[in-house]
Order: sequence, then C-alpha cells, then structure tokens
Amino acid sequence: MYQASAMAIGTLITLMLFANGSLQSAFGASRSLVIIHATGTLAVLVYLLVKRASFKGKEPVKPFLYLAGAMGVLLVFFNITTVTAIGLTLTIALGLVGQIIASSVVDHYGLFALEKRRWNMKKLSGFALIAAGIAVMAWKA
Amino acid sequence: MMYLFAILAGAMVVLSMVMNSQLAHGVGIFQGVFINFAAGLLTSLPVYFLCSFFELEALGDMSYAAPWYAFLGAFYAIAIVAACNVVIPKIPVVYSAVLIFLGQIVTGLVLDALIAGFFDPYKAVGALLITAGLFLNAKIDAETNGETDAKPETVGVGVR
Repeated sequence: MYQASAMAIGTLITLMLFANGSLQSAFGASRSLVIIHATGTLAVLVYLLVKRASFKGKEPVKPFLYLAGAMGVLLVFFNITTVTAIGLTLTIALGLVGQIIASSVVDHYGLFALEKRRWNMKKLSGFALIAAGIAVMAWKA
Repeated sequence: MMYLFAILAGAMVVLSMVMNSQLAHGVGIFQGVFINFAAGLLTSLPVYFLCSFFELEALGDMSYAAPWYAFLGAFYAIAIVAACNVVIPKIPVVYSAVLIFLGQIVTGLVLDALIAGFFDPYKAVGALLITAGLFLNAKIDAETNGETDAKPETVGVGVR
C-alpha cells in the first residue's frame, strides 16, 4: 500500500512539472516563476493559518538556509524550459543523473555537515545501466 | 544546452532538499515550505521586472491563456511535501527513491504520449534500463549502509 503511495508521489512530481511547463508555454518563464511562487506562498500561508501553526522556530537556523528558495527559482526555471523543449520523460531521466552526481558529491565529502559516505565503485554497474537508458531515450529524441 | 539544464536542475533538487530539510528541522516542515516559497517569490519578482525592463524575454507571441491545471504546480508541491511526511517513514529509504522515480517516469511516459499523440517505445525501454540501474544501486547502498530510515522531510521539502 505504501509502495503504491510512494509511486503516487512520483506521479505528483511529474504532474507538477507538467503544470509548470504548461504555464510557461502560456505566460513565458519570468511571469510563470512569479505565478508559481505567489500561489505557493499564499497556499502555504493559508494552510499555516488554518492549522494555527507557530512561527516561533524550534532551534536557530543557519542564515544561508533561508536562501534555498532563491536557488529554487533557478531550479524551476531550468525545469520549465527543459520540459517544454525536450518533454517530461527526458527531463526526468536527466534530472536523475544530476541528482545522482550531486548526492554522490554531498555524501562523499559529507557536505552540509552530513555524515560522510564514501563513493562506492560497485555502483558503476548501475550507473552504466542508467547511462545506457538515457542513450536509448535520446536516440530518436 | 537543454540536456545540461535538466542535469543541473537535478543537482539543484538535491541541494534544495538538503537545505530545506535542515531548515525544516529548525522552523518546522510547513513553516520551512513557506519560507522557501516566500524567498522564491522575493527572488522571482525582481527577475520578472528586470526581464520586462530590458526585454530579455520575448513575450509578444505568448497566448496568455493557460488551462486551469497549469496553475496547480504549487499545490502539487505542497501535496508532495505532505504525502512524503506520511509515506516515506513507512518504507525502506533505498526503495522509496526507486518507487518515486518509477511513478515519475511512468507518468512522464503517459503524458508525453498524450501530448505528442504517439507512444515512443525508445523512451519506455530507456526508462526500464534506468529503473533497473537505480534499483541495482539501491541494493548496493542497502548492503553497504544498512537500511537507514529516512527523515520524512529529506525527500519532499525541496520540491516545486
């Protein structure tokens, strides 16, 4: 049951990419970025107010973490431009490659004060399969 | 160029998740999502004004007519965070990544086929190979690190 729910989360992520991509086709990237972040800010604010959530932090937060949202703008920009140009499937597959590279670097060096997890050579076999999959996808794209 | 953009976006998803999960740890999950979107709004507004002032983006051929579902992006993002909180703690972390990817890519295949009007078998075979590779590496991870339980917020919070 929870396995199906995890897949449903994946479905939601793709639907989100599709929605944001459709928005960019109609309004262009810069307007879409404002619309996406304005609706998100409002929706979460309403949720927090309805839940009467506290805005007092539990513990102090490193100031640079507040900037994650600014980087998110660039992330959404990349996503909506690629989705409209090369389609959802290829965007998702290439995004996975970026995720694997970034998480391997973060883990190997223990960045963001996370526990160090050394790069494992055995995983090259899996990466070979992933690279082959991308090659097949991009073959006729 | 587009391929590079897509890979960079994936890398940013990871950075975004790590940063936002640490933010969520300090201020609360949905408070973190709020800060995330608000910072995004404060960034995207000047970007929009700069783009229109210097005419960086050709908006002339835009239709300005979007279907209703195009406006749902942010709501999906919030639903994803909420769902991750419930679902992720209940399944082994190594497989959650594979399952989420599978859901993503299958939905992508279906929507791409609907948009293009034909089904591309190359993309389906590619998706199968990628999922197999991901599953293999997930098993290797499970053997070396043990099936560590994920914090719910590590997967969903960066998303949008």
